[in-house]
Amino acid sequence: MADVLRNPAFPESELERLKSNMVRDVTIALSQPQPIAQQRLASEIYGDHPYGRLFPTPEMIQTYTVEKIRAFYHANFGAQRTHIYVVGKFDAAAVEEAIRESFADWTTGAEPISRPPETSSARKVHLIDRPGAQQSTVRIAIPTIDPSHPDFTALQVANAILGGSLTSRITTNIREDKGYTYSPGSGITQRYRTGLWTMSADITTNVTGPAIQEIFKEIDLLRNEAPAEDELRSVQNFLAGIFVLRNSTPPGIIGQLARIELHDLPADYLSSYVDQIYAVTPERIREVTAKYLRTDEMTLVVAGDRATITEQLAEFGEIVD
Amino acid sequence: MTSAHPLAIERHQLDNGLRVVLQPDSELPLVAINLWYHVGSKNESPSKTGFAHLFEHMLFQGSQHVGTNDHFAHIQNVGGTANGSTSRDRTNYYETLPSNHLELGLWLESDRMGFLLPAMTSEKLENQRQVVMNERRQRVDNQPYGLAHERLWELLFPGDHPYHWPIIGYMEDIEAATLEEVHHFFKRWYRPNNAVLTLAGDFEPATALELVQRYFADIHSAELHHAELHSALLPAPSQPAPDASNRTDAKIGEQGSRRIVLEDDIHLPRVYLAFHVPAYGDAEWYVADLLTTVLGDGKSSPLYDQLVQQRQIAQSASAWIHETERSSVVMISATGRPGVEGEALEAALREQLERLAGEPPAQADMDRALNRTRTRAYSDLQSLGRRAYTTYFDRPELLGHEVERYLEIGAEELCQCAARLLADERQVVVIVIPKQSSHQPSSERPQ
Repeated sequence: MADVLRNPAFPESELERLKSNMVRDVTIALSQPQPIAQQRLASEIYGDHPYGRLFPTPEMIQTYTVEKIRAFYHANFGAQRTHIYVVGKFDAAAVEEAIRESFADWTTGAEPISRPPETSSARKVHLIDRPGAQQSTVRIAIPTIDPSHPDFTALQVANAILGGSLTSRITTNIREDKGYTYSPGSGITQRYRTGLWTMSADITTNVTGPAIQEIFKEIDLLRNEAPAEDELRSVQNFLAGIFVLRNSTPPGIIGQLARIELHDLPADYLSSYVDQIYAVTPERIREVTAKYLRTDEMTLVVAGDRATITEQLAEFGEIVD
Repeated sequence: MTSAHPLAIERHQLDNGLRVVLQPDSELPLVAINLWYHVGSKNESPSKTGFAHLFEHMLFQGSQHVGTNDHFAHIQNVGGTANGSTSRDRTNYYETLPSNHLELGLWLESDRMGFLLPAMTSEKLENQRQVVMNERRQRVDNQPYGLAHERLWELLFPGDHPYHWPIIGYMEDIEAATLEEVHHFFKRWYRPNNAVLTLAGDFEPATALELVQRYFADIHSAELHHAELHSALLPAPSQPAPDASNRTDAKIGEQGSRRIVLEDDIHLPRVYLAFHVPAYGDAEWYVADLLTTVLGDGKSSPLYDQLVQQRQIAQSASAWIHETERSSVVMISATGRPGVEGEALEAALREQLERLAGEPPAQADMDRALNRTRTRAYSDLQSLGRRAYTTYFDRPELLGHEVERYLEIGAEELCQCAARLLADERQVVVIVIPKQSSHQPSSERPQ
């Protein structure tokens, strides 16, 4: 591993093949409605920032040369920007010694850079036509806070009530009560110094409008009324339990450690997380939902059959191609 | 590490026939529950496809003492996770919970095994019908290459064979399912003597068994109807056929090569080759599985090396095997570069198969495949949920030991297996090409 990191070969002979594979991987991904919608959403929210490009264009890929790759590697990879995580059953002293032996004299490299994106969101419907599609792939999103923000845990709990669990309000409404969709869900994408709350669903074409209406109705309800104690308690138990499950495998623990590092979370984050979850009150849920999930600023992306859904979408804002 | 072997298992059977597998491991304060019912899409009638899976959805709609949407609520309320899945042969329901809530999980599972029907209503059926139709749209009809698998199984197995139709079912059948059929299906298949309950994790075996007795012992068994399956040729589920010549798959394999070309909303062509191999559990199944690993698992495999790296006609290439109970299937697939015809891809895949059939793989390739198989087996064991899963086909003793079945397979054996089972006169081919006109792929039942 040390040899790969310290002395990568970047052979010229592999470059053309890797480039053409990359072009075609992108082509395959962009024949699926979910990546198409996701790409559009990222570019609307993040603009020209790298977070706004989920997939490179074929033209970009064609410009990559071995020289550029080497230059990029040496400018960006080095000891200062690297963390090694080892989790599992092992002799800690021996592993530490092995790591020191392999990496201690690795070049320091560049300092980490910090370039959080500027985000923007406006209540518009970005429509991507997929003629004849039987479902509309829908994304409703708004930029939001990241894990280092003091409101983040409360917002996570609010999200779980709204769309982030199988018993959530939106899932119960548009899946269990109405059968509009199979796998609706909301979540907060956590990136460096920025978050993105996104509601995702693949909705039967002819009920696209009614389903989106129900989603907004549920968000607005939580913005205006604090949830019942029981409902909150159940979601808190769920989040605390998932946290334990997530930390029950070595890759899960590595994920948590890396997350703490990335977001500069306090050293006691893992041991205090469960308490923080339980400290959230019903009124606090209402407060953070009203503060962060501002329905009138949400960006909508819909990939579906334009001929059928344009009329259904009109009420949600200006339709943009 | 506890004093007992971490993968020690205990097996029990209740008087009503429920089989119980206990795999205690107190390393983490968690318990995984997995309840297997020996019923899947193969138990459906050819005119009522998709029912086993729709029924799985209905099992999350409450039972006599559990409210309509309360199953997940109970689980989430104690910080657990739960789900279910349906395959051709079986349906399973599972949860992972903090170990002090084992009893809750057992109660929830026993309530729907013992008291489901009073809670079933036509409103719930109607709702889940819509959800499942959306699941089909999302996974099959509105997905690139989504219909290829459906066509492969239809070509592999004749119309009245229980593996012919898709697990999720055809749209028209999902639309036609009735509440009466829900009742009938439940009474017929969802009985304790058609189920295996597995617990893995942090519990005292004696205490856990007592809880299992308390919640499940009173549920009545029923006469099972596995023998009534319309494919009378098949061996009974618990009796492996004595030799390959008696197996249905051998007869089906003699139907000869068949192929179809499918148009879809895609940019790159994709080819699938499929072959009949013996059922999961058969010694030869493991040979065939290792063969798919040698052939197509990872970037050093011949499929990837030849088609993607050397000749650069494919974007990706892989091979895999299905874990089906009565007759299994090996599939090999490649996605082409633009401009490469489906037939050329097919010929290139064939060439790799002929090579393997003509000459035993090098020891390095065998070692690579065995190492990958080992890694896969061991990383599965890290998860309690995966451990509870490994009661497949009533052979829990394979937990942690299944990997041994691969270790004695020789290169020569692999080569013979390829020659016998992957011959071109036995292959079924589906080629997916970019569509010419603008019509959507059809999910209609094929004629």
